[in-house]
Amino acid sequence: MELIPIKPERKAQLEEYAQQHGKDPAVVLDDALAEYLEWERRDYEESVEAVRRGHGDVKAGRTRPAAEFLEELREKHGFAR
Amino acid sequence: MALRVEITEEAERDALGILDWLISRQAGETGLRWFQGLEKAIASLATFPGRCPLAPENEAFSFEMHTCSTGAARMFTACCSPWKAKRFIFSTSGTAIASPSASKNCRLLKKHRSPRLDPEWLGARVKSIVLDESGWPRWGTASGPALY
Repeated sequence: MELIPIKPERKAQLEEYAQQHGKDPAVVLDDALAEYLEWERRDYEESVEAVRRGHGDVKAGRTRPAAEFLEELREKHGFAR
Repeated sequence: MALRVEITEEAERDALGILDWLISRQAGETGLRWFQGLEKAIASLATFPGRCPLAPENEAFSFEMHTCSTGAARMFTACCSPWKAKRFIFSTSGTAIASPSASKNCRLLKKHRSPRLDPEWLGARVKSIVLDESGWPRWGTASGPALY
């Protein structure tokens, strides 16, 4: 079995959480890692897809100067210059 | 040399969504601070576009995507080269600015573990790429000169 060191404070947090929830620390750690990595995977895929849509906007000419957009926001909400 | 920054329609909608949401739910100057942060981030993008590391998403594209946080926004930019004079803001805010009840935003809250509505974590997630001197995106198009 390969061992991966974790910081003492993280270990303490993990053990405290596991105790509070009546679970084995190893199970809690595995669950937390799995959830986090799945979240990151989805976030990555959503980001890639969003950039592809933005790329489509650019290719179709659906862009304009950001300064123009900022000025509209400023006027709409009455932000001082 | 300051680059010309262009914003895509989708990025506009996302930014509007963030600001409207902040203003409708937050008292005080949260919306204004967010706007100022976005303004600052875009100015930074125009002036120092190459100071950020490559984005993890970079590997999925034929053009370079860099990412950095500038307070109000997580900026994703292309590398800085002297011949590049224009760049676009892309939004990936599907993960960042959904309404607070939306599942995506719940994940954001969970990820950041912060109840604060400050620009640092609620900021638009924008991405950008640059055009070369002839005005075409670096990745090229069917009729553009740059095919990478």
